[in-house]
Amino acid sequence: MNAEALKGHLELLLLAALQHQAAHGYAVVETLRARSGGVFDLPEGTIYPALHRMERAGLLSSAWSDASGRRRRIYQLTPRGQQALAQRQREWRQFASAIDAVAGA
Amino acid sequence: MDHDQLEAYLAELARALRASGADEPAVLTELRGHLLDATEQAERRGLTQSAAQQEALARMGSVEVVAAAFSADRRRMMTRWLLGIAIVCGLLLSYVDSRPTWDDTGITAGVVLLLCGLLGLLAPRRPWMWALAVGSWIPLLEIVSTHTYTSLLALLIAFVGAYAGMGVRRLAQRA
Repeated sequence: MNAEALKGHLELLLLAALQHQAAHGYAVVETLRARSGGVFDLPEGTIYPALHRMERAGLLSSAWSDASGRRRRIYQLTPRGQQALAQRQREWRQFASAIDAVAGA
Repeated sequence: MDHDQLEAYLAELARALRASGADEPAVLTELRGHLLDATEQAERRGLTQSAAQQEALARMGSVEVVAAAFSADRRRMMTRWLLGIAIVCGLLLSYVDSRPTWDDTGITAGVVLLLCGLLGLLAPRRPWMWALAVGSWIPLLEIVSTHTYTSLLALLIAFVGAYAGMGVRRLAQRA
């Protein structure tokens, strides 16, 4: 899928990928790829500015972890992030059903 | 284990991030972990180390794409801060200019010109925004309070300054 088409929905996708468990960037990418059946295949490096931006906005928090001699930054949803996810999921369902009603007919 | 390709990519990315002013050592540490994880995963699928590194790098995106994503984010943040500063400065200028004891219009005009020029130089993408943020308060206050329109000149000066700043930045980029 075109990375441009994903841009507007990236925050929703990242929030959703972190909904059930904290994860580092690579795991988030793998979750997106697995859940989308490989359709969401954006340049992986571009998710990090989005993760950092979401952290600054209070939607995510992060902590460094050292395992097997490797440093990873683990992200998790904050309560504000949970609220944002719920809201964006509602908006997305509304948007998707409207698009489907028009274009899918 | 040899990670030459990954380290070469990270060194190039570090240079690109530094050039765009978005250099953060923590970013490189995070991306290094990502690349090592991706390489390991590909090796588990049977790829050679070299092929696994190439795949990890291809998936990460080119240095240009990744650096552009980070610098776009930084630019957005800087624009927000500068807009706040521009509005506060514009309001302060309009307050000072409206005082009965202040009669040096030349200084006000000069400050508007310089400030907008500086903003246009720092963030040349939207010069009109800097002109409006700094230069619209003086005429607005005067129109509301005295119903005269001569101070619209301040807005014109703001536009001249902002676009001049943008022009200087563009020339410097080309040189």
